[in-house]
This record gives sequence, C-alpha cells and structure tokens, in this order.
Amino acid sequence: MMRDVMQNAGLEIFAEVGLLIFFGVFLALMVRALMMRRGEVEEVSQLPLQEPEPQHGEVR
Amino acid sequence: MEAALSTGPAAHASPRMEQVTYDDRIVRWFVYATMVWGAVGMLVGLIIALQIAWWPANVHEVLTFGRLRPLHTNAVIFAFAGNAIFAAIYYSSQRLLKTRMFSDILSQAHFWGWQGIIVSAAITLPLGYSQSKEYAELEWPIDIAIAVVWVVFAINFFGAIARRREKHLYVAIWFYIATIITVAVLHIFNSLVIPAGVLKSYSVYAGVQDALVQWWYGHNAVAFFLTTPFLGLMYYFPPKAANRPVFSYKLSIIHFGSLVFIYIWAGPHHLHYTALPEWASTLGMVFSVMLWMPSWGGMLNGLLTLRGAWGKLRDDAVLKFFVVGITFYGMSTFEGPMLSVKSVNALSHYTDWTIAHVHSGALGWNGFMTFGMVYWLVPKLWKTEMWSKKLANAHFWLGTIGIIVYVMAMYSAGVAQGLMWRAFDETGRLAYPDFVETVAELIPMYWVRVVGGTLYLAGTLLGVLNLVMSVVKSKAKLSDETVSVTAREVVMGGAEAIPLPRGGVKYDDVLNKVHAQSHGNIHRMLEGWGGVFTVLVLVGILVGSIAEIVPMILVKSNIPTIASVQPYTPLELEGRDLYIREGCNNCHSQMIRPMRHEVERYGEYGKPGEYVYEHPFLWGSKRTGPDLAREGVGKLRKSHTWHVRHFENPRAVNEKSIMPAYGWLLERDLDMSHTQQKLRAMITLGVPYTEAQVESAVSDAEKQSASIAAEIEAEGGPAGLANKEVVAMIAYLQRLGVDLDREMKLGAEASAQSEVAP
Repeated sequence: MMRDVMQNAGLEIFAEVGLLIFFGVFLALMVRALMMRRGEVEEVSQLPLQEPEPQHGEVR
Repeated sequence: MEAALSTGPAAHASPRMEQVTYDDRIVRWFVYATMVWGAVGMLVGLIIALQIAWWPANVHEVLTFGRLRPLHTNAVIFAFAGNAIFAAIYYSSQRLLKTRMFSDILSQAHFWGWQGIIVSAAITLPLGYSQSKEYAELEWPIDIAIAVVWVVFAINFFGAIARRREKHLYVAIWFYIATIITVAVLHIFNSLVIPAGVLKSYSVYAGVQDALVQWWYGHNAVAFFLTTPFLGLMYYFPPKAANRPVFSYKLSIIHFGSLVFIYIWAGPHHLHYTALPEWASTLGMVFSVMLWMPSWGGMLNGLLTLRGAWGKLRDDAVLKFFVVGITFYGMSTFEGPMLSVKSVNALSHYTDWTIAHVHSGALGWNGFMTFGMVYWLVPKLWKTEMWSKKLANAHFWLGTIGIIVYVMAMYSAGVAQGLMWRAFDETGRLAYPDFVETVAELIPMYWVRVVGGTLYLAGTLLGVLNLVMSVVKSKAKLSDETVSVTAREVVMGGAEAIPLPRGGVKYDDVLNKVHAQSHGNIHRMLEGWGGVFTVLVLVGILVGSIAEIVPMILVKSNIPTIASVQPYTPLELEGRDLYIREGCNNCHSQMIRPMRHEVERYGEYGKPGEYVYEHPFLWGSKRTGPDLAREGVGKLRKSHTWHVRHFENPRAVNEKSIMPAYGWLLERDLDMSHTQQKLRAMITLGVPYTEAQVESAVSDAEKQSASIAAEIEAEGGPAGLANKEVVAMIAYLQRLGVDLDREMKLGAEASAQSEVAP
C-alpha cells in the first residue's frame, strides 16, 4: 500500500540522486587523498607529535 | 610555513614568535565531570539491569525501570561521553591550533551550562517529564538550554580556529567540526515541539514522520556524538601515547569524508518492517552496509598506528585501553551493518541483541577510549605520576571481562528470545503463545548481565579512586602550560606577508594572494579555511538528511488516510500522556511487523495511516513486555478490571510477569488542569479537534472516566476509581487498535456484500 503511494509520488529520484552525489564526493575525496604530496602528508601527520615544549608554568 | 614566507614580498628573515598559554584548568574540570558522571550513569545502568532480573528492585514510583532507563542512557551518553569529548576537544584543539580557547568565559559557561543540563535531566526524568523519544527525552526548556550551551561551545571552538597559529587543520579537528555542526542540526530538528505546559510538549511530527526524524536523530547521535568526536580523540591521543604518527594520513582523509557522508543516511535501518516505506528502509540498509568499509578503514588506521608500540602493551594501561577500545569499534561497526540487513534485523529487532550491540560500542569503544585518554591526561594535567599503575591495570581487566560477560549474556538472551517469538509447533501454532514464557526463559541471562555490569562499574570506581588519589598526592602547583610558537600573521600569511598595492586592487594581485594562501594547492586552501570546510561538512550531512526526510514530508498528504482513525478523546489523550510519563514505551512496542508470527501473536500489522495523530509516535524499540498496538481489540482485549488488577499487582493476573506494580495510578487523581491546553496544542499540530471539544474537554473526560469506573465496579472491581489516573490509562489502552479494527470489519462487510450482489 505504502509502496504504491511512494511509486506514484515519483520520489525514487531522491535516492538515486543521493547515491550519485555520494559517489561523486567519494571519488573526489579519493583523488584528493591519493594526490597529496608525500612531504605534506608527513608534515600534517606529525602535527600532534611536534608540539612545542612547555616553557614555564604560570601559577593560577 | 616557510613557503608562505618566501612567496610574500615582505617576508621576515626569521619567524616572529609568540607566547601561548593553554587553558588546562577547563580540561581538568571536564575530566572530573567525566569520571563522576560516568560512575553515576553506570550505577543507574546497574540498577535497571537488576530491575529486569528481579522486579522487586523497582522500589519507588520515581525509581521504576520506565523512568530510570532514559536517565541511564542520557547520563552515559551526554554526561559521561559528553564530558569526555569536551575534555578531549579542549585539550587537543588548543595544542593542534596553537592557541588558547577563544574565551575563558565561554569555556566556563560551556562547562557549568552542561553540568546544569545534566542535573536538570537527573531531576526531571525520574519525575516523569519526558518527550519519550529515545536519547531526546528531555523536555523543551532543557532542549533550549542544550541548544544555547551548544552554541556557546561552537563559538568558543570556531573562535579558536579563527585565531589559530597553525595553517593546517589536523584530521582530529575535522572530526570535531563535523561533530559540532551535525549535533546542532540533529538536536534542533528532532526537538521541534509545541509546548502544552512548562514541562510538557508534543512533537510537531506525527507517526511515520516522527519515527523517521527520531531515528535519523537517534542513529546520527551515535554517529556524531559517540563516533566522530571519539575518532578525533583516536587520531590525537593514541599517536601521542605511542609517540608515533598516525599510520596513514591519507586513509584518515578517506575515513573522514566517507564516514561523515555515509553515516547520515543509515538511520532508517532502525525501522525495518515497520510502517515506514520500503525504499527508505532499503536505503538505510544499503548505506549501513557501505558504512562498514570506512569504519574498518578507521579501525585499522588506529590499530596500525600502535604498531611498533606493542612492546609497551604489557604494562602500559593507556595503550591497553586504546587497543581494546579500537578493537571494539571494529567489532561494533561490523555488527551494526550486519544488524541493518533486513533478514538479520527480522530476528534481532525488539530483542536484547540490540542491547548487546550498543553496549559493545558504549562500554568497549566509548568507555575504553575515554579511560585511556584520562589515564594519559592525569600525569600531564596534574603534573604527577598515576597514583597506582596496578590499579589502572586492574581497571582494564575488570572492564574487559565485564564487557565480555555482559555482551555474551545479552547475545544469548536476544537470539533465544527472537527464536522463541517466531517458533511454530508442528500443528502450525505459536510454540510460545504466552509472551511471558519467552521472558521467564531469559532471567538467568539477565542475572549474568548484572554480574558483567557490576564488574565494569567496579573498574570505573577504581578509575575514580585512582584519579582522586593521584590528584591528592600531587605536590605540584597546578599551572597552565605556556609554549612559544611562530606568530599568527607569519604562519597564516596575512596582510603583513602579502600587502596589496596602493591605488586599487588589480585582478592579478587578488589571484596572487589567493595563490599564495593556497600554496598553489586548492585543497589546502579549503582545509586551511575552517569556515569553508565547515560549510562543506554541513552540505554533506544535509544532502543525506534531505534525501531521507523531504520525501516523507512531501508524501504527508499521500499517506493513505483511514476513515475510521479518529483523534483520541480527552481522557484517552491524558492516559497516553501517563503512558509517556511512566516510560511504558521503554518496554512495550506499538508496531506489529508484517510477519506471520507477529500477526498471529498480536493481530493485524501496523499501517502508516493509523498513526497520523500520534504526536509523538510510540512505536518503541525493545520488547521487554509484549506489543500493545492491538491491546484494545480481538483476543488481546481484556476487561477494565483485569487492567486495574494488573496495574495494582501484575503478578496477580500473570504469575511470571516482571513488570513493576503501579499502585499509585489507583490512588492519584488525574490532573486535568492542562487538558484544554493539550487539545489546543494538538489543534495547532493539525489534529482535527473542534473548539467545542476543547471547551467541553474536562467534562467529557470526567463523563468517560465515570462510565469506565462504573463498569469496573459492575465487573466486581474496586469502587470509587472515577477520575483516578488508572482509568485514563485504561481508556487509552482499550482504544489501541480499535480504529483500524473497525475499518477492517467495515471492509470485510463491504466485500461480503459485493460478493452477494450480482
């Protein structure tokens, strides 16, 4: 019953367009990740480990 | 950074440095809150586990399972995990962005505002003030407070991003951005209500729509409150603890993008085989299965980050918690997609299998990642050694064994009950026609769960003790960390680095500036610009949400109306509100799936048109007791007196029942001071009550109540129940399923007549 209603409403396009958008975004993401330069990857992944050493404690 | 200097004509010879003092005090506060609320939330969990195993543990009206269950879920999600993610975000963001948070006042407003919300939840939920929608039970004034505090948090966080001294936004920050944006969207749209009193409201959505919006919210609360912030935590703290960079940064980018985009679509898998349209259900299933891939990509990335640090695992409790936490992430993100497959869900839905699944995620992933982080943070924040490493290891083992005992018991209970519900004997009748038989079978498993939960809670209490003793023993004066970092305008390549020429801006100059900012690399520009990135995330989650929800709203007028479905009478509406107050929906579903064993047991399966006036929907998600959608019709209908006796003492009519007794319903007068206001709120929502009905609402309710009370007396039940709460509840329960039944009888008569007619 509900299925008939949905088919008549012609809204399957929402799911299809959504799927296409997803694959588009996913492909762009893959391309973007795979094309990152090695030096840049190194630099970014070191961010948490290269925090400057604390100098002095400020008493609060 | 060096490249930025060389591109600008006014580059400095040596980078200018600035002092940054991080706000560590706010992190310490959030750590305390995490551990205290964690212990409280888990204790409430243990109490409700005991109540299922042994009903006499329902000792008082405000301490029944129906009222404490929302308190448990809200406490562990928003108080325990919530404070944990705030601790993680405030500690790691300041360091990754090389700036103090935007405003200390906002930080404190965030902290105290959030604790105030938790306290108000702990007061209102046991008192029965509830919207009934899972993990969104808090009433509308508290919902507004949550929105305000969340905005305070967002300003503080994005303000810090705007003032940062690091061009790159590390992947953990992306996960935090996704969390803040998406939780805001989810919370606002799921909490849209029309108030009908200071602490009473009705959802603006009804029935099928309300269910869809609720599970879009519920599922994504798991995604964006219990997954993305913890993934941010995973990409920051385990690399710090193991002193190794993340295994693959490229994988983390793919993990982020695909996870954020796919997760938002998966919600409808909570509504398989309900009155939800099949396309939405299938969409939810397909995206859930797809979700397995990015989830496991992330899990492997986390585990492989710890490669080479395995030697430390023997005695380092921090790494132990992280390894097991990430492993549980892998297990529950395999199980989730599996449970979303319709044929598996047909067995698992409404059973304890779901409970096992969420606890492997909550106890294993959220709990252990939190404990690993806290044990790593204590020496840093309190400048002291952990009080006892042995105790930390004991915590780890108690927790691990506790989880395993808990989930094994609930897997057994869930599968056993699912199989019993669907079992037919050789004559084609239900093998277990009496629902309570399938519950009684599970009691031993419920006791095993109590043991597992006790072990886990004991571990948490050891953690609290260890934290308190470490703080007490710490001799160091607590201070905020100050570091020296490259100045902001140098790092960010601001106006100072690339001045625009006087006498008008030329097209080429603008291009050069953009080029310099992006280092000739467009994605870096996007990620360097927090605002642009945030908008992209917002678009990503909105695409999924709109594609799911808009069709539902568009088809509102197309939901087949059932002529006999009428709004509730004022007394029934009050009864329904009592049903919500007592949290009946935590144990009883009102949604019969189109399966032979369900129709055989309960009656006709649920139709979308039945629920058009259901603000909010009360389909439920777990059957600790039987479904009630057809309670008022056919073989399930009982006498009014049966209900009175059942509420007074369920064991009087059903020996093996584990339901709490609701004696106060027989003693308390029904409060009808808001009845008219409630009807008016319903009119606002499009429920076709007339003004005359509103005017006579109270007298109509009194009339109906007197008539039911008279019937009870005539049946030999107790006298003098008119205007008592129990009568309103009975009026509601006896109405369930009546409208559809009438329609079907009319349909049957019509077809019989057309067969007779030539």
